[in-house]
Amino acid sequence: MQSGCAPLTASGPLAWLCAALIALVLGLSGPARAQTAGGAGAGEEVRLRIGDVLAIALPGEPALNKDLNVDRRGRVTLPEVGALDVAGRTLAEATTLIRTTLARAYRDLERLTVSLKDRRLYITVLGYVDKPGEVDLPGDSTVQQAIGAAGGLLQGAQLDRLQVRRGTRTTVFNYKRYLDTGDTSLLPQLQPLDIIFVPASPATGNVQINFDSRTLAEQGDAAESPSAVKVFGEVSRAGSFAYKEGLSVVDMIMRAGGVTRFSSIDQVRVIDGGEPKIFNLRKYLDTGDAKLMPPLKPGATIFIPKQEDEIRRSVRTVYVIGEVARPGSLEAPPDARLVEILANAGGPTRFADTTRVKILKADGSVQQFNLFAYTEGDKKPLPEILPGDAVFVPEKIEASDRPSWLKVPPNRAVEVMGAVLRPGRYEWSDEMTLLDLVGEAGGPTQNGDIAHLQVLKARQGGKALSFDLGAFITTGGKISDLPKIEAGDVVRVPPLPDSPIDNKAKWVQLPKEDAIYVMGQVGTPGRYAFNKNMTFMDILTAANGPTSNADLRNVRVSHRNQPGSKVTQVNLAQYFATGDEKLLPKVRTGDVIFVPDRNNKDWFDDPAENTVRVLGAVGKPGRYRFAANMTLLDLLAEAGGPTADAYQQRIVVVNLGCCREQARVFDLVEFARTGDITMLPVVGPGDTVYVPNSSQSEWKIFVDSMRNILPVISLILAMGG
Amino acid sequence: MRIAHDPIVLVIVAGLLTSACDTVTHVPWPPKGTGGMAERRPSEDPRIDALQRRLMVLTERNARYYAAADYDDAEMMLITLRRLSEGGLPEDAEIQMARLKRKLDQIERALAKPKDERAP
Repeated sequence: MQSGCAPLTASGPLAWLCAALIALVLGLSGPARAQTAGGAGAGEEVRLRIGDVLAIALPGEPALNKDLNVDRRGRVTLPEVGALDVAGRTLAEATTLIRTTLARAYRDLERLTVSLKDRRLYITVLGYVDKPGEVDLPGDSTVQQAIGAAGGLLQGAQLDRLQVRRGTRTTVFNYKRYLDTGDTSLLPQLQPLDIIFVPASPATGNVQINFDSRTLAEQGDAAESPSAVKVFGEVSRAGSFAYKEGLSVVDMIMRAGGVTRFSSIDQVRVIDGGEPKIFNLRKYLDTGDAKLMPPLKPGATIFIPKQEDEIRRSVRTVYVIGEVARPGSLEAPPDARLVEILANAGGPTRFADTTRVKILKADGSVQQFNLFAYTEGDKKPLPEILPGDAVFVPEKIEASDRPSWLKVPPNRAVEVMGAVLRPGRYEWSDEMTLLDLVGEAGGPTQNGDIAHLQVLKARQGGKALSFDLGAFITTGGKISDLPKIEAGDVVRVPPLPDSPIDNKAKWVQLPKEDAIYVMGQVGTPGRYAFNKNMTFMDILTAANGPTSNADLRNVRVSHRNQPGSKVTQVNLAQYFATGDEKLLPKVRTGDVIFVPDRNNKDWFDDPAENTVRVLGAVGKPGRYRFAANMTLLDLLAEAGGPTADAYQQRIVVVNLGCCREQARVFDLVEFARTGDITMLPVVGPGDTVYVPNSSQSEWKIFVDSMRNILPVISLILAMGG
Repeated sequence: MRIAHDPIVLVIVAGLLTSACDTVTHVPWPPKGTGGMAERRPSEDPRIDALQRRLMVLTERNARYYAAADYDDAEMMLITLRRLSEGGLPEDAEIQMARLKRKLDQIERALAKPKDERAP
C-alpha cells in the first residue's frame, strides 16, 4: 500500500506536509482506540486500513455478530454477500457500505452496528534477523518490536543501515543511533505490509560463517566508512575503527587491543593524507611529551611494525643467537644472568650444544661456558652478561653433507639398514614409497639380497614382513603392491652370504628356509642363499661348478620340505652332451645337492646290474660302469688291459640275459691281426669278463703234463739201460 | 719193427699220450662271441631296420633339438638292441625293442606339441 505522502527521507515542504499527515493519523488513532473501548461513537474520521479488525453486531442474527478482518487487499468478507472493500474509508463510510451490501441478503438492518475493534500491523522482517518472515504486530508497534518479533538481530548485522521498504520506496535509517539515544523519532513509522530489511555488515565478508561478537568487534566498528582509522601490524586486533573527534593515535592503538610483544613501538607509522610520520611511542611513554604524538585525522592509517624488522640497539639490549627457541634481542637489566636470558629466549633447542655456549662480549672478547656441566653441579659461576653482549648457543656438530640425525624426530623417520649404499635414518613422508626410500639410500649393494627385503613395522606391534623386491622389479607390479612404509618403520636389506669357505660366520646367519645345500665334488660346497627365481644350474654355478673328479652321471638331489622322501638322480654328463633342460631337476630351498666323487666309490656302490665285472689277468680288475655305446675293448682298456701273462686268445664274456645265460670267448690276438669287428662279443651291464692266464692254454697244459712225465720216463730209461 | 719194440720209444710214446690225454680232458672253451659292435654293420632284422628308419624320420623332424635327451636315449637303446639281437640274446632283444618303441613314441609326442611349448 502506498501512502500519498513523500518519502520519509525527503526534505522541504513535502516532508512537512507528510509529517503533518502522519501526526494527524497518529492523533486520530488514539480516539479510534477510545472509540473501540467505548463502542461506536465519534470515530467517523478514522480511515480503515489493512490489518484492522471490525466488530459487527445485529441482535437476533448470530451470523452477523462477529469480527471481520481487513485482509491484505483491504477487504472484509461478509456472510452471504461476499467481500467488500473498506480500506481507506472512514468507519462511518464503511458502516454505511456494509449495511447497504448486507441488505441484499438480510432485512431489518437498522440495528446493525460496526465498530473498530483492533488495529494490527502485518510487517515483513528480512535480512540479518534470527527468524526472517512476516510478523503480526499491534497497530502502534515500532521497528524495534518488529525486529524482536522476528527473533532479534543476528551477529554481523549492520545496525546503521537498516531499511524500511514500502512499495517501491526504500528508507534507510540508523538503528544504532536509536539504540544509543532512545530517540524514537529516528525510527520510521510502520504501516501495514512494510518490509524491514537488516543488512549484513561488510565485516562478515562474502562467506557464510557463524561470527561471534568478539570476532566482529576485533575487526573494528567502522565498516566501510571513509573516515575510519585503519590500525594494523603488531596489534592485538587489527581493524578499521570509527573516527571520533578528539581521539588520539594512542586511543586508536588501544581500541585495536594494544601492541603485541613483538611490536616495535619506536617505529610506529601514522599515515595521514598520504604523508607517513614516524611516531616514537616508547619515547612518548617515557617522556609524556604530547608533541611527539602526531594528530589523528579521519581516514588515517596506523602501522605498528614488527620488532624483527629492525635492528634493535639500546643501552639495555642483549642478543641471543643460535639454537634457542626465540633468538633475538632482549631488554635485560644490568644484573641479568645467563640462565635468565636463555629462559627469556625460550631456552636451548634440542639441537643445541649446551656444552659450548659462547658469550660474545661487547669489547670483542669471547667467553665459553659449559651450561651442561653447570646443570650437573659444576660450581663454576655463571658468566656475567652485560648490555651489548651476545649469547651464542651453537648447534651440535654435524657433517657438512648431512644434517644432524637429531633433527629428524623418531616419529618422522624411517631407518634403512643392511646392504644399501647409504644406510641411515631418513625423513619420511607418506606420499613416498619403498622404492623411493631404497633409492634415497643409494640402492642395494652388490651383495644385497633384495629378494628378502625385510620391513619391521615398529609402530604396529613390531610386526615383521618380508618382501621380494627382486621379483617385483623383474616381473613388474603396481606401486600399491609394495609394502606400505610409515614413519617409525625399519627397512633392512639383508646381505647375501659371502663365500662359505672363508666366511662361515656370515653365511650361517642365513635363515634355513632361504638356503640350499651343495655338497661333494663342487668348487665351493656349502649353504647358499636361494629363492624361487633361481634354478639348479644357478646354485651349481654359485658353488663354482663340479670339480674334475665329479661323477656327473650320478648327481643326486634330495628334495626336502615335502611329504615323504624323494631323491632325483641327475645325469649332468648327458645334459652337457644334449643340452636338454628337461634333465635338470627343479630344486627348492632346503634341498640338498650332492655331486659324488667318481674315484671314490665308498659313498655309493653302483648296483651290480649297472656294472660289468672284469676279472683275471688285467691291470685293474674290478667293477666298471658300462654305457651302451661301450665295447669289450673299452672295458679292457679301462681295466688296465691284459697283463703280460694273459691268455689273450681266450677272453671270456659271460652274458646275464633276462632269460638265459651264455659264455662267449674273444680272441684278442686274432682281432688285432684281422680287425674283424664281428669277432667282438656283446657285453652289457651285469655281464662278467674274464681274462684267463696263459697257464690255462691247451699248449701250456700239455707242456706241463710233459714236464711232469719226463722225470718218470728218464727214470725208467735209466733202470732199463 | 725194432723201433716199435724199443722200450725207450714206448716210454716216450706213453708219456706223450698221457700229456695229450690230460689236455683233452680239460673243460673246453665256449664258442666265439659276436655282436659286440653290431651297430657298425647293416642289420639283418627287418623289424630293427624299421625302428632305425623311424628314428631317422624323427631326426629329420629335429628330434635331436627338441627332444635331445630322449633322442640320445633312443640312440643308445638302438645300439643295445642291435648288439643283443646279433649277440645271441633274442629274448633281451625283444624287450629292448619294446622299450625303444615306447621311447620313439615319447619323442613323437614331444614333437607334436606346439613349438613354443617344446623343451628348448
